[in-house]
Amino acid sequence: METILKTVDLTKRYDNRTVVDNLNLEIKKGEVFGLLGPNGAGKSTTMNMICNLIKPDFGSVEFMGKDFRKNKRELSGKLGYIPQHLAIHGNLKAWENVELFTSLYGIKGSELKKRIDESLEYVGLSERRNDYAKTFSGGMKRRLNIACAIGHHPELIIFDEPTVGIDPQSRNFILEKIRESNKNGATVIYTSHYMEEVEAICTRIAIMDNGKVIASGTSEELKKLVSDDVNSITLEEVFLTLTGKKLRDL
Amino acid sequence: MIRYLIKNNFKIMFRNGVNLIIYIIGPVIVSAVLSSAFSAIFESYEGASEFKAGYSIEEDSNLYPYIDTLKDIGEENGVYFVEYEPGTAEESVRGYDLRGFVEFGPDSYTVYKSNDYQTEGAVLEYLMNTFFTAMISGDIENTEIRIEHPDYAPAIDSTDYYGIIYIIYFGWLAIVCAAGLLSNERKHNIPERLQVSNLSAFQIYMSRLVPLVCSVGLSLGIAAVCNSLLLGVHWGNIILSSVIVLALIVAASSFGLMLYEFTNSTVAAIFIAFALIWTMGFIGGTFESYIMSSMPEWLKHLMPIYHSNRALVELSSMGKSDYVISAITIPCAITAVCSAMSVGVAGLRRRVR
Repeated sequence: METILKTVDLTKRYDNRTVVDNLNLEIKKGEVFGLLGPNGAGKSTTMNMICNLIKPDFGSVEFMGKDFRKNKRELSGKLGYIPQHLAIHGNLKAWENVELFTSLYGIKGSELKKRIDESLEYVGLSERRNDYAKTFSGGMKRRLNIACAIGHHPELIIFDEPTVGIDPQSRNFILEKIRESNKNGATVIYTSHYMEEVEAICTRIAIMDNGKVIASGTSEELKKLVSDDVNSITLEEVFLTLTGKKLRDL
Repeated sequence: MIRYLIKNNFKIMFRNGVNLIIYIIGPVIVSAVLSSAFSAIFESYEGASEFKAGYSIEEDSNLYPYIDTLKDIGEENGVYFVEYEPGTAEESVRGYDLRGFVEFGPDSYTVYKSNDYQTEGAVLEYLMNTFFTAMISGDIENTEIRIEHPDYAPAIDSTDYYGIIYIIYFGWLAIVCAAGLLSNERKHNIPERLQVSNLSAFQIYMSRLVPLVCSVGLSLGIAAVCNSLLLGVHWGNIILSSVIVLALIVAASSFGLMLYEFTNSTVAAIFIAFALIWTMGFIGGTFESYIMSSMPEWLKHLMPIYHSNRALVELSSMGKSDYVISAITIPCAITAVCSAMSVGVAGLRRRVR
């Protein structure tokens, strides 16, 4: 399979602490890649470096075969980023939020209108398109947050803990949509603390700790690292075995 | 690319009810209250029309040969001199309802002014000063003295003054209008989402500046119309006045956004902006009229708000002003410097991360 994104010796230090340490990830086109790790493992810093929000101290991110930092103008339109925080405006209507963020990728006029309808339909908010985002429930806001990031049809979508604080129905809906996006050809990077979600949707998983990938593979491959009987062990147990049970207070 | 971002940021600002109260209702109410409270002070400064002044001259005065010339020039400017006995200045002013009196000594003169007619007194003093300056220069016959728009005698009432001044003051507080947008952006990490789409620091800056200027401009435009219709405020040259107000709104917006970029806090930016603009207004004529202010001229001239205030007030009262150019160029310079610093700091912050 073709590689869509690759990190080469990616390193980031804050003061004297190495947050991401020579990280080498390779994400293939068409896969749903799960990135797990305890708090402070370096997941968010890695995501921020992939999205060009933070400059690495060393190393690079190759996106579609090119250095992403040097080819931002050309490549940023192929990336969709769904941040953990709800990056939407409460004082704008649902369609206006989608318009705002989709238009940033140069989409305008009737094509923009089409994409707005399509994105809202995709996340099940068509009927609430004229309502202000501040009137939405937590789950609806999460769905709108997704709609704002997919209108420009990105080839790689990064979901940073998209199901935090929502009800099971909304969570199930979002996971279904991630599967659907993947079926439609999008590559997905997914981070979450919910192991069952990761296990359910990810084709490959990497577990990070102290800025490094300590294990990677399919769910079954990871389970085999801990136990021969893959049916008797959960991904959470694998995670705790590999990263330890000590609390990670930052 | 940022057209839709500008449009939606404008919607966010304009839909905020607090902004409407601050920028539309605020100036109208403050103007109405202050113009009513200070109307008596301004009435005593109303422009002078034609008036009668007395004079007395001693026989041995060196100024005797010039009296007829002075009377002619006085008449040309609406000041009619009537002769009285020497030593009767005060009683003549009271007894004959004179607006002022000039007592000529052997080689000096004294101007008596009535407390009830301060403007006429000032005109008389101005006439005498100008006349004697020309006389000393030795070219009195060829000197033309005209009292058209004496800058010490404002032909403006309190309604016009405060109706204009408070549009300017609220304009300088433009950053308050962006508070909702900036707080929400910060709370929800929206600038990061904008950065992922490869928006430059300059584009993000413009996406805030343009809607801020439009929103404050539109609100204050409505407030100015309300002031004119409800209070009867006169703006004089509307086109020139609009350009001056627009220039100051752009400057104030860029200044506020620069403070936000430096402090990275909406509250801190508003606090600093408010403190600075209040001080600027205190010196530059926002609260106490600059016409009657005892602040040193050089200090007033250091305040950008003074130039805007004076230009607009003079445009309203006289139809022209020597301060128009400075009221436009100073805000333009502020805009250029603040914009460059905002974009520079934002770009630097991105590179450092």
